[in-house]
Amino acid sequence: MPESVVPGGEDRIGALPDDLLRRVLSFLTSRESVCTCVLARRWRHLWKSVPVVRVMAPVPIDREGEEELWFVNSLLLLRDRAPLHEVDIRTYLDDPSAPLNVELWLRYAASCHVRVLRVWVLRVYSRRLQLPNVTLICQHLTVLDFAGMKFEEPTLNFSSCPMLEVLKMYDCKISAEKILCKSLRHLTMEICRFDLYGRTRISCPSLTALKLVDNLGWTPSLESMPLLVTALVRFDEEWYERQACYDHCLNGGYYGDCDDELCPSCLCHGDDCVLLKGLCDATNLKLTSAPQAIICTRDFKWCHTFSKLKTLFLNEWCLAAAFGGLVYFLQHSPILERLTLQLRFDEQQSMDGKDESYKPREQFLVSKNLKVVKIKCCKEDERIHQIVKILVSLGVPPDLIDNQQNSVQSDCSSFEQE
Amino acid sequence: MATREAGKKMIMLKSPDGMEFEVEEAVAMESQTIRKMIEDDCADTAILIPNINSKILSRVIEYCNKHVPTTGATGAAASDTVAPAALAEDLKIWDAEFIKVNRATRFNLIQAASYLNIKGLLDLTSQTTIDTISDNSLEEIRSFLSTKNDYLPEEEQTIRRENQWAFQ
Repeated sequence: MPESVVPGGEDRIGALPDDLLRRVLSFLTSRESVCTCVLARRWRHLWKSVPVVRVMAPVPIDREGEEELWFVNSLLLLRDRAPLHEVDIRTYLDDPSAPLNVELWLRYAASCHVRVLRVWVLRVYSRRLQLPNVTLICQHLTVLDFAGMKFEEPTLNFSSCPMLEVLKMYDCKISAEKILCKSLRHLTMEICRFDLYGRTRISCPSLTALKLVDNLGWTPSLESMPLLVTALVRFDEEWYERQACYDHCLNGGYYGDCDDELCPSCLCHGDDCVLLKGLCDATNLKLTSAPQAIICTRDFKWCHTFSKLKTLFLNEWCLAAAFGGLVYFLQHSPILERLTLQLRFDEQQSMDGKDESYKPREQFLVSKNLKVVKIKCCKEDERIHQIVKILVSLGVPPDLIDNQQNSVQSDCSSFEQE
Repeated sequence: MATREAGKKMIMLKSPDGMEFEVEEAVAMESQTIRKMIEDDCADTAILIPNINSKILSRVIEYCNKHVPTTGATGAAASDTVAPAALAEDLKIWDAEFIKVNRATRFNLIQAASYLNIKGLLDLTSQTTIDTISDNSLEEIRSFLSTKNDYLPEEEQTIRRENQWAFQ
């Protein structure tokens, strides 16, 4: 809330000790912070030891990438080598020499014991930025946040960052066979392209929160994550339509076992559990996808039980193939408390087995802890009644079913508000 | 003030003007300085907070009360779950109201947040200060900070030239 500056207005900010003033300055962009050097003698060198480097995209895109490089290089060369809490660079780096420069910045940041490191390469038509060598040796790093970068190493190994807890990647291209980080607690990968022919393995055994949202290519496979609390996995329907996400069966199969030699997703990667092995320890899980995605259903054959799962959010995919997904989760979640089904019902999209109600092949008991089943959909639809019938036939008490029409939200944040 | 609940340890904070504030230990421990005192067993009776008058101290306690993390039923720390977006949004709105204070109070809050080492409050007060000086001319900022330009004109020119890479 900007407040107008009254000439002669009384403020004693200038009376703060240098240390505190540097902290206040760390909220300015580095460009603004350097410019305070002309205020008065006392301010001449203060910017040099501000513990944050903050470079934001220049508003006009016509500013040359070269100019940004020159600014950051000058800043890093001329500041004192004071410890850095945070390096936050979000800018267009559309210059052939950018990769080499960015690598040097990262090494500089590491040498100043950086704790939070964010590099967002904003792209318009430019390619993702590929670092010549990304081995980060950062003893104090806790948060790493990359966007618009490309990683071609065979392993993305963060073991030389022993304190790393949060890793975020947005719009990155990853060709690594493995992402390895023992200390990591929060992992977010959004709109990343997994470019390997085969699956990238995510090996982060201390993870408590995972978000995999709208990624492209082969879905990465998850190793066991016993401490997991919250997981959000979302597959963008549009990627399926454009076949940018590979995990769908060419023959329209549902369980990824069509035996067609020309169907790469069923053929090539059929011998390994992809997602559910990693997700089965979650307490809160949101799993949404296009109905034609086979990635969740193909994992059913490993029969993982969700022994800690309390809150579950699913969408249409769980209704296909005679409610296969819905039945699986109800069968394998012994302490489930809240189930939410978000249904959109496109006109073209039909539910398999809609003429017969589901008859369980074997008797099983739905979680005794079940408190509510919410069905969210945008319009009155006869199929809702059918789902209710199925739920009841699976042993869900009818009074727990809460049918909410006109309440579809499709963004991720709705989950966090649950 | 928080009501005393069974099983919750209370801590007495004293301001130099003689006021006493009884707060839950968890609330007081939002301050890393107080946390250290408690952990080092230096907090048997009352903790005297020097240099922070009762008016400012009560505001700081108000801030800590609002920001003390609530642990869920599972006992998992708040940082282990994805922060509920609604709660975070609510806190942001609360913060924006909280920091609508005059400059002298804000200045005192910065000092208090720094002494008591409360990162969230220090960030909030610093950010607000920066918001008020950003986009103003040099003269306006000088006047806002009550800083007198003690450069000679040619000196200022030299410094500007030295840092030409930033003045663009």
